[in-house]
Amino acid sequence: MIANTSRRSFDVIEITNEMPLNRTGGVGTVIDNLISGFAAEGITALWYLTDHGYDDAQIDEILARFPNVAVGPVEALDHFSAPVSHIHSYQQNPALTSYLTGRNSVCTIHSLLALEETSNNVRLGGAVAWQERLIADSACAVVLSRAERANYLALGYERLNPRVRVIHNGVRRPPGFRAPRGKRVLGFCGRLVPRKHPEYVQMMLNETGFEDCRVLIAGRGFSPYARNLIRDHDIDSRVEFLGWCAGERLEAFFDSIDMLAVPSIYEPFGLVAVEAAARGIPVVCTAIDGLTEVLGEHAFYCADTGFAAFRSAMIEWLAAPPDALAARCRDARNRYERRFTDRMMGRRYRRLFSALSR
Amino acid sequence: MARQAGPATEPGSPATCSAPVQLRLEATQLVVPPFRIGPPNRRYLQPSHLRIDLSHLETDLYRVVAVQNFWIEDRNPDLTESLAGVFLARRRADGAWEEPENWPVECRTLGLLGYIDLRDPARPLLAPP
Repeated sequence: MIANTSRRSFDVIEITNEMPLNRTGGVGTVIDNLISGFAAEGITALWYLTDHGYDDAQIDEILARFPNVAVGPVEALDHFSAPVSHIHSYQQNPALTSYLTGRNSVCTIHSLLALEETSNNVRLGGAVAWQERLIADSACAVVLSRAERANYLALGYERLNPRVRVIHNGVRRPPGFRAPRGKRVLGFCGRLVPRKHPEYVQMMLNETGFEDCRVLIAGRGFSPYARNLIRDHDIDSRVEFLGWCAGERLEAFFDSIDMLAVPSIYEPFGLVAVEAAARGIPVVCTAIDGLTEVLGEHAFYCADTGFAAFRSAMIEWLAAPPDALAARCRDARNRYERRFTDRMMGRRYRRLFSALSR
Repeated sequence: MARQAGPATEPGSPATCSAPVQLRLEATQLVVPPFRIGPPNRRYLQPSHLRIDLSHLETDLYRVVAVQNFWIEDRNPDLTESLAGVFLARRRADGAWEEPENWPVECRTLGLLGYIDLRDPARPLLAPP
């Protein structure tokens, strides 16, 4: 085990496979905002990185960049103490469930893997059973939206653990807000997986009214389907895959796009929709799961999850006058300010940790 | 007599690399120098010397393919530049060259950098595309 702190006692131990460096998914972004949100709320956390995929140079960078970090096996967690442990792990490790036994522990379910399986049409092996065991072994499970709690109950997970709380994610205030924007650059940000339908926004390029548009795609994953789509629709010169963007590149992406498409069929929260709302970017999205909780009345919603409904919502966005767009984006930003900042997320977790520690 | 490695008449996708990349062999390693390929408004950059250990590969003929790298987080704010990488492709059982998009490595084919012939493990050979 290696640590960059001599402190051994904390308010909470955050157990994670991922830090905000070369993230493998949205968890790293949540950790990034928990770091700032906890700091704003006066919570002193240990960030315990275990079962990770980082190489030595990346570990050195993590230890240099973030305070109160330890890296090691689950078995070495006993070097540290805290009234609560908070789990973000998605790597199967029986030692972790042993560690949780008899402790005050919270596991945040960033997405329900049973629904990832069905919405992406993939098999995740033992990962679903692992997540279910983690839920059962934790004192409390956290999900990211009321809709996700409904999913939790529909899956019968109340039998695993009836103590389930909704804590929305939050994000730091971005460097700028700009609205209204133009009507030329369509954006998509996220993993290129079936449940997020990254092809919808590309297919818009051949629709009437979108002849002068182009698409920027920020996200990881590329497939024969993605390759064939741009070839078959003859849109290669109008679609730019930017790769897995972070930091200044992600900010440049947000600064370049005029709208963000989120046509997912399953979205436990919709972190990218909050990031867009905070920056003045109008969002065209499905009216599902966490997205409606995040954006309220301030998005262009699809009537269903099919492409025809997405096209109709995109046409509504295209037709919206600048003043109306600016007002909608201001309202979305205000909703973000009221509910979804990093500090608010930190505060909600502080209250939960306090309740568990009594 | 030295064998010729370059199967220029082999079937497969055409070479599209816009600038020659000077691959070289050092003992059992394939060395790929930093390269930048693609048109000016869409450049793909591989910024470091890559050393690929060939000693564990099956004896076969391989294509050295430049790919867009979706696996590594990119912080470069210049959106006209993206990260590149290298994929070694073998033939499948049906004779077609394997493509990076078919593997869970999150890469996109950009162009062919060359061939490497490991059919005689004692004498690996390089050939241009």
